[in-house]
Amino acid sequence: MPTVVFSFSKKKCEEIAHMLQSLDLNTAAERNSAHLFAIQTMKRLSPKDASLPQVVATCEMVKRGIGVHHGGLLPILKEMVEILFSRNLIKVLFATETFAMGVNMPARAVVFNSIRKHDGTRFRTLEPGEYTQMAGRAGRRGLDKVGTVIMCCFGEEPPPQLMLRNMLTGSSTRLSSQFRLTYNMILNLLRVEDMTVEGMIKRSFSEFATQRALTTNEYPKLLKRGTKALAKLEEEFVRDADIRIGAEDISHYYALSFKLLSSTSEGLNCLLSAVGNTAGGSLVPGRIVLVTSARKKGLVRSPAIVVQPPQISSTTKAVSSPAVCIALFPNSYDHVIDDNKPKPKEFHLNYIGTYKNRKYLYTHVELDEILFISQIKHKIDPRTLYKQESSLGRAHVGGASRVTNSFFSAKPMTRQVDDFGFGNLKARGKEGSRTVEDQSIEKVISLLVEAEAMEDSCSLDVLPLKECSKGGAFQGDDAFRLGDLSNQIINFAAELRTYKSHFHPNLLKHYTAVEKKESLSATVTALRHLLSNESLQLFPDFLQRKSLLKTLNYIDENDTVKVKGRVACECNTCEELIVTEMVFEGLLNELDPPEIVAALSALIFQEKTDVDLDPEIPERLKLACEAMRKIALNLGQLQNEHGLMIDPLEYCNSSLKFGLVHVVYDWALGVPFSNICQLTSVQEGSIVRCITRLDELCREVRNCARVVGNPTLYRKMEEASVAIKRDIVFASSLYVT
Amino acid sequence: MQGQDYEEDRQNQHLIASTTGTVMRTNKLIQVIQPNSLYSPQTGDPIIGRIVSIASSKWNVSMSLNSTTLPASLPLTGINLPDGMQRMRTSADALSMREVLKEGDVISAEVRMVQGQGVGGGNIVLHARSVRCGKLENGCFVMVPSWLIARRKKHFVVLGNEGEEGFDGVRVEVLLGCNGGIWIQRAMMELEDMADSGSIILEKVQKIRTDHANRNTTLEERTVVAKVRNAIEALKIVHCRITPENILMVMKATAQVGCSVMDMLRPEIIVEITKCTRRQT
Repeated sequence: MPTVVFSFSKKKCEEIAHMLQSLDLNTAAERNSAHLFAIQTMKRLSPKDASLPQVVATCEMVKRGIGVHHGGLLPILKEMVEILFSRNLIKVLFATETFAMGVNMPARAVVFNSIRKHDGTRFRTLEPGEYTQMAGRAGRRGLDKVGTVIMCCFGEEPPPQLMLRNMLTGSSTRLSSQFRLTYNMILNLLRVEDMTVEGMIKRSFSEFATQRALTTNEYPKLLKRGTKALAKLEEEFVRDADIRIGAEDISHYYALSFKLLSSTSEGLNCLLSAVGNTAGGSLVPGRIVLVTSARKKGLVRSPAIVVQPPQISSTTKAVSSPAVCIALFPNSYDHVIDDNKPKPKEFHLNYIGTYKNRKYLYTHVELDEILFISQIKHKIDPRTLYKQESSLGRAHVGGASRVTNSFFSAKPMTRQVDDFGFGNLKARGKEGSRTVEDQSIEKVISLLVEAEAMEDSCSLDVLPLKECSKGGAFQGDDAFRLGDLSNQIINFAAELRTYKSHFHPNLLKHYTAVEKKESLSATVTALRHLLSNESLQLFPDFLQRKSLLKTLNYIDENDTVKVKGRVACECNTCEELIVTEMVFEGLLNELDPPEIVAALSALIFQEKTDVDLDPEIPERLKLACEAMRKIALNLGQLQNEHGLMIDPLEYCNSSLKFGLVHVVYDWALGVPFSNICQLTSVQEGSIVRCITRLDELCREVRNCARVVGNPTLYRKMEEASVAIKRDIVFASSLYVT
Repeated sequence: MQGQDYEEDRQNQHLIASTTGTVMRTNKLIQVIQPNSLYSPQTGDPIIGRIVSIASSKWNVSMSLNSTTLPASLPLTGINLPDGMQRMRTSADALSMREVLKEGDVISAEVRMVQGQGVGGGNIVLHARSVRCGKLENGCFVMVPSWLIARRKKHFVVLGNEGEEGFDGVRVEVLLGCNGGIWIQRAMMELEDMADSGSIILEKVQKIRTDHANRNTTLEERTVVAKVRNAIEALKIVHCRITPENILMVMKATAQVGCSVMDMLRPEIIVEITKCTRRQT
């Protein structure tokens, strides 16, 4: 004692308290003081209200030392219970979780009736943060040595240990931005000259992370540097135009190659994930492909023969190790030997060899460096051609890659006898006799030269990727996409050959220059976009809302706020668009004050009730409510058209709730509170809250009437305010005496 | 719907306007916009007014030439303190109000609230806490009828940027108040850059303002300011809307005609330089 018992529904609280009717926890003295306090509270209410069932029941319970606290209670009763609890005159309090947020209400013990609750969308376990908040009530400083927390388990066994551990020791929920753009805010900001809505969005918490990254990474400086460098490159490019005779169309050529590269890589990706690592036979060893990787490797439009297909990790279905090819350098390639770097070993990756004055390179080829796949496929023995580095010391994720030939080659040109049955092969001697590898590499190079010549003269045939897709597991659109892509590739490749640059001997140099320029330009554009307003997350939302406001005539084309906009600025408590439309449609003109207030209550009341419009309300009011519904549907429809993801029917139903229309109408007419409580199943506390907020809305609509210039509406709203401000609904708080 | 500009004629079920003007319809609301009417303040309007007197913890500001029509009040909490600090206004502040703003000072402010009913507004409360608002010094004040100034996005504009003729390289700031008051001064340049960067430090702004106030205007600057003032007077005389675009056009025409500042106000010259504005309407 004192104890707080947390249940998560108001009904449950009442039920349990009801079951303890015979329990009396107070001594005679305490009962007296509680009684006195209760009588004092009653004095603030009119005699009729003092006989409300809820009031009577609560006072009775309180005398016995039992209390109930939830949102359905009348506010004055809630305060009474809180004050008595803090004075120790209530020994057991049955409350909902809102009590946990109250100030200065500690108890000795806290009991959890259940650890699952309904948070509006689904039934879930308590979050660690919520648990801490509620359990933290246990233990009063200076009065208790320990605080006790008890959890009730009504089932067969207690809840699973993992769930409990998470709830008790887990970290609390992360802070996330709840910033939402409302029409009210947009209109108010458009009125002021200094602030812009974009500035407001930039300062919100949701943009905090991105804006901070922008300043720490110094994007503005990078952008400036990039633009300057780009300008210089452009100048150079224009200047060197005369060197590029025969390749004037290089820029278009580059653009087309880029498109072809992306199509091919997309198609290959699709195939790889569906049919396995040789992409359905397109990347099988011996296949001739055309590669372009000007800046990184010095290859452009170069034929290459696949030596090892790409490895795919079985878990992620992504390429874990790219294909290995032998690529033929163009004639114009100038190989600079860098003595500082370790020389790659022959037949290993990155090895550059020479044969008959043509240089070739062993290299990894990424999917987006393949221009297209030709139909030519030669028979080669990859094991003689390519020796992989051993995999000792390299950890393979998923273990999917199999190392076929792993051995160390101590000296070049020596071979070890291995298990794959190359028994006949002689080791190379110093006399210079050629080994099998030399023979195969020579064969390969000649094949590549042949392919190059073919491409120059009569153009290699492109392998349609569609054909490789047989036997693959495709999902839905993928098959169609693949077909489209493969057609695209064939078309692009054919178009490529119509450009003069394709056959230019110095293509590599020019291509590299263009590639440098274009990639820098892409980076600069990306940076600029990041720094601009368009990268704000809420910016598209803002533009859509602004265009909606323009359609509805709240602002004009220059974003100046018009009369309707100024009226909407006055509305803070509820859906500003609906209220403004109501005012401008003259809906409120024929209604008298009680009816106006009743109609406006639909905008404020937010709880679900089963009963819709009561048939007993006057005809005019019913028509007004129907009109309101139509306005809401219209607005929902318009918002949908402008791109905001709002379902019109759902919008109408969520913003207008007619459950309390009859209640408020009667209250405004002067019916006593006890009578109106019987009209509905909604709890008294909710009714009181709704009416208090309604008073605020009345004041705002009155201001709207002033902006518009309608004195009758102004007077009506003042009368309405007076009509609802009485008795228990507006009884002053116990904390303010 | 009943508004304030018209009455109903019960017999014929017609609506008869009680004032002259253009009719504007918004849904069911019918408004009659008068061509010459008293300025009716709306929340958020920037205005330029003059201090008339000092009352307890607020200044009385007049928004028209005649100091009794359109009275407004600027409370002590509605201004930025000279040292830029954000704190509660103490009684010491209340006693030293005269040091901040005296009678006869011209200020720029925004309408914060219009209390009470009525067209002219019962009680107008101003506030001058944003960067652009405050005491105006070292410039020229012009009063034009309030209906010549339309509400737009930016009321405080800087003219005389590159490419605009007639300014001789001098940049001029023009503050168009919705009540008809216009203030012309040479541009306080740093303010523009700071506004873009998004974080405006009050002390810096105050320093810029005091610099601007203390520095004497050179002859060229004064000439250009005088030219702009005469341009606005010319527009006023021909009843043309005062917008930055119109001012620029008149300045350009003046440069082309080549007359001096004094001659700008001669009737023939006025007709000449405002010809361009007439052509568009």
